[in-house]
Amino acid sequence: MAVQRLNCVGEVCPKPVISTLKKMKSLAVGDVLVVETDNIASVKNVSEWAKKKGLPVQTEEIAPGEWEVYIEKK
Amino acid sequence: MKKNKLYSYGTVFGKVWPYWLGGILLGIINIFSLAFTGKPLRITSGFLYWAVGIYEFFGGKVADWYYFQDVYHKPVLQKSFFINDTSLLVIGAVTGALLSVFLASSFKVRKIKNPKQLIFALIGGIIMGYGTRIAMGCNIGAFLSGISSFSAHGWVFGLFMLVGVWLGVQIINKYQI
Repeated sequence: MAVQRLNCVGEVCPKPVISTLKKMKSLAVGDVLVVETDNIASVKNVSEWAKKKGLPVQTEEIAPGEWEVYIEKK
Repeated sequence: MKKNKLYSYGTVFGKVWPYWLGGILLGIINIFSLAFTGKPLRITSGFLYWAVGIYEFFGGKVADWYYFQDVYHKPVLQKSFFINDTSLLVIGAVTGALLSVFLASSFKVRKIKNPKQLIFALIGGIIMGYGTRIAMGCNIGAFLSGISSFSAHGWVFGLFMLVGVWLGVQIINKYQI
């Protein structure tokens, strides 16, 4: 299992979700993508996209106003 | 990786509220706006008051502009430029947003990612501002309040807003903003 990071800090909605969609394609099954963002709307739509795709997803606020979304490719 | 439930951070204010709840609250606020001011919610009109106020402060005259002869835009000239219900709404919206961010303990000074983002944001803001003035409102004044007032222009606005969003996403993709 490899972990890849996607730095979306400073980017506003909908850029992080677009980048996530592209990045997920390059991941192998079992890999985890960490999306770093400071946009609360992106936390919501990135994790909702993952849930819709049936992918395991977790969210954590790592600092005030900064989040990490973990998505596992299945 | 820590195992924690989705959106489990914070209390009720730290959570991301669902869209339907936001919609219901916005609808209720719109009813209050109509009841107390006689007009549905509008946001960007507030900036028009301020812009006219600043322009007139520096000696400009807008009274004979074609734009302000319109029945929709004429009331702008009849009110105080800074003390009016729309200004109050704009100040309230910004204060409320700040308050909610404090309640969620998510306050953060966002950095600009690169100069490209700044330039595109500025151009986008100017186009959006101009658009709201010729479309008689923004996504609140024209779309939300337009449709809830059974006005056809709200639907037309909504349709072209979708076109604009699609175009915006294409630009984001193409220039990697």
